[in-house]
Amino acid sequence: MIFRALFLVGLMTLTAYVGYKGWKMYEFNQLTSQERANILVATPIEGKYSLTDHNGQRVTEQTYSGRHTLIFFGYTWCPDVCPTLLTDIAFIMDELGEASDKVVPLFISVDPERDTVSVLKEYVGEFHPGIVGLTGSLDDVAAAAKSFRVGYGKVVMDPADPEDYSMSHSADLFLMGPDGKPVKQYRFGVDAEALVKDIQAVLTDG
Amino acid sequence: MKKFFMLTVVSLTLVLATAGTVFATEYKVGELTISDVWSRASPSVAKAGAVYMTITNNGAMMDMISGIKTSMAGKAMVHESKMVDGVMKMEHAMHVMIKPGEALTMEPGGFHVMLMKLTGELTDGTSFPLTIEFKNAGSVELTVNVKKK
Repeated sequence: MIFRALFLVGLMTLTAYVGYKGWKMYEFNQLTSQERANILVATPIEGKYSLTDHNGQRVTEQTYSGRHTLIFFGYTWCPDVCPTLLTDIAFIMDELGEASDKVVPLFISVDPERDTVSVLKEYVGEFHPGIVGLTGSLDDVAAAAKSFRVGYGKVVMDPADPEDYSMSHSADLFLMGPDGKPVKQYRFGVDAEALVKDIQAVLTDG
Repeated sequence: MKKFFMLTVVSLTLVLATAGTVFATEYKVGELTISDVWSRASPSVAKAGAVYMTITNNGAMMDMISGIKTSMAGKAMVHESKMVDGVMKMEHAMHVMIKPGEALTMEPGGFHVMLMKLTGELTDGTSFPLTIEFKNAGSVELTVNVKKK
């Protein structure tokens, strides 16, 4: 009897949770792209990092001081989300035109074991010459991710082939100001044209 | 006269180009229709890629993807990118159903055929074959167009 009651309570909780998540997804899908573009995550982030760029130079957030940075975390073995975002970033840079001089897009690897400096250089460069790939030691990357409150982890898809792992990672896009402080944080899925408009507005305002 | 000729050529080209987009390749297998088959061009160092398509079930029976093979990759399987608490996770979609009267849209940030251990480069403007097998409808060979999009 008690088990049955527990089971029912469990089932109800699960249903409620799934319903809530479904509703949230629905709500998000109802937003216009401009509304989506303005979705900011309330949690303030620090956004500090000390990593190696794809030319082998050590960089921190101060390296790009005076320019905005557009930052996201990913990995080169990523089949879907990262190439999609990188294509969007290339589009944004092209659309910004001259103003793109004021923006440095940074692609921070969450998979430094496979993403060496040379791999990153070749990878990001084919999307857009302006994109800079950053990598580092496992600790460097962990510290950077923590500072951006970015979660990531290794996922082995096929136990028979553990080398062929994939990475789960936050796909948020961070726009940081010329002072290195966070300005905006966009969720994955925001229309690239809406992003262009939003970033243009930020650049014009200051 | 020359002007008229040029105009005809230009409009003919335009008509053909439009027709090309409207009548983009569609594949039929059993009661299923497959369209918009494409893969994103990726850097030559990329080790993985993704194929996207739309599968519409015009029949009265549920169908399921039972296998995918392509010479472009050592392994190909359906995955789903899912946002869980702000983190993008990839899940191996074991049983991908195509319900009767509905369409399964594989697009960036969602369902996709993940290509692992690429055997070649996904170069913009090229194409490669991919065979997809369904539990009921059987199998069909598709031509995947690689583009930047």
